Amino acid sequence: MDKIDFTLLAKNLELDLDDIYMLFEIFCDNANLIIQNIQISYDTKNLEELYRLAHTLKGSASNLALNEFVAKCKQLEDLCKVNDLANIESVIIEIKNMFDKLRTIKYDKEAT
Amino acid sequence: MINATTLSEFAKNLTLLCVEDDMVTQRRLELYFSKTFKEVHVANNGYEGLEKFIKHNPDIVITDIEMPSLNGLDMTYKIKELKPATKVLVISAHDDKDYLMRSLNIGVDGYITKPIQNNQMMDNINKILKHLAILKNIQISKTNILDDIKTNVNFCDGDDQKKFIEALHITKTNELTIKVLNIYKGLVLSHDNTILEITKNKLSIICTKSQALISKIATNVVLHTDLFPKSVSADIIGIKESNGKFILDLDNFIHFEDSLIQRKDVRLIPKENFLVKLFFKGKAYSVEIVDISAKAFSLKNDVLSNLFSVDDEMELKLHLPKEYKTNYNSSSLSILIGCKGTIYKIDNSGNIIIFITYKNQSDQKEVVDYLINRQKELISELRSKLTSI
Repeated sequence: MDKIDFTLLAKNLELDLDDIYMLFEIFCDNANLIIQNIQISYDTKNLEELYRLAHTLKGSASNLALNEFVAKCKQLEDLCKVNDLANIESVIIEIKNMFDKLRTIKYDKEAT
Repeated sequence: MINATTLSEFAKNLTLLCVEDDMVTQRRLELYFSKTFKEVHVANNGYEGLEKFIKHNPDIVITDIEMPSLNGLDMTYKIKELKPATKVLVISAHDDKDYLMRSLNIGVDGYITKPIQNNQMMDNINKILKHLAILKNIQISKTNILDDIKTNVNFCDGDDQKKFIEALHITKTNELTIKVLNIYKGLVLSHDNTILEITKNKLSIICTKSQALISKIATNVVLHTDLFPKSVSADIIGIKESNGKFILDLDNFIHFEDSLIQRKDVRLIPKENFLVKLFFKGKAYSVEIVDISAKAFSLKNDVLSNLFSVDDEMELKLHLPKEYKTNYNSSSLSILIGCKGTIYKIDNSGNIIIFITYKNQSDQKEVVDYLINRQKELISELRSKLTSI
């Protein structure tokens, strides 16, 4: 499971710690919407849009070095490319679960 | 040579526009660049980017490619039309599009891949800042510029020859890059290279391994630098490897008539003997296509050179091959594209270039689809040739 070392991230991105908290909050808000849309795209079998959303989510998460989450989004992208509907649903569930865990970090930032 | 402090001071007078639909990336770039530039403006897509560009007139634009509504490349073309001197840095996803990106790179001043690394981004930004500083005559180092260099430069105008050589020396002395375009069957691959040395009989540039390999197949290049407004074609007279670096030796410089830098449309040599039926003054002619873009055809015109002149109008019918794929098999059929053409020019080789207007939007889309597939095919063909070298 991805962990975020906010201090290290601030150093790597050459930003202030408060900026990193803000980026993480923006990520959580956006990812929440994107994941909702991913579910809609899957329900309507719109794989082109699903691919686009997975790609956007991957790009967004890569800013925060959420490597496992990024890898899962990449897996979803790849499944969309080969129209592998059978496995897409389970990957979406995994992405949702990972995101639910990531969100909790948001409220535990003082402890990090 | 321009040092880091000078660049940093210089950047504090410049404005940057960041166009990115992902809010995390957008905010990250805004925060990061606010420390470097006088002003940073942001936009969520290409249309908004264009609006902000017109409003704020930034010196540098950094943009994503894949965005809703107007994408980053289309926005870049529009910006370059409005103000060609604007520097544009493109952010792309790091995957197989790399080759495509290089071919599209002709209109942009650098690109970085996602995930964005600050050092890669700043390397590109610093290159752009150096170019801007030189263009604004900030601390130009013109030492060792030799007026008496005798290359085999064949320019129409002797003054141009001197300016070109001066541009090369400024580029080398200030460690700037020069845009080097390799062309394979119409596919343009662009790299930003540094100059190793300028001697009396050749220009040596440091290139990538893939560029050195491509140069074995496509034996001339087109050079472009902001310091010299015209594109210049050169022959590759030597390819070597020294201390892990690949070097191209260039000679026989001539003006390149067609500006690849400003070319908006992909123009490719088709695979097959591609024929178009041309209807002119009540007669039909079958003519071979030399290259094809969505807006123009270049036609071979060995026999018919006396028949046509500029501004002649004609009807054309093009048999376009199209692959049909099902779950079970694939087949190739040809579809008929009908269009009207007007002769734009007849070049030195006698080829006629015809501007095209389509009778149906769907026909235009078919030609665009053909070009996209042909581009992919050429990339794959090039890759397989490179691996076999």
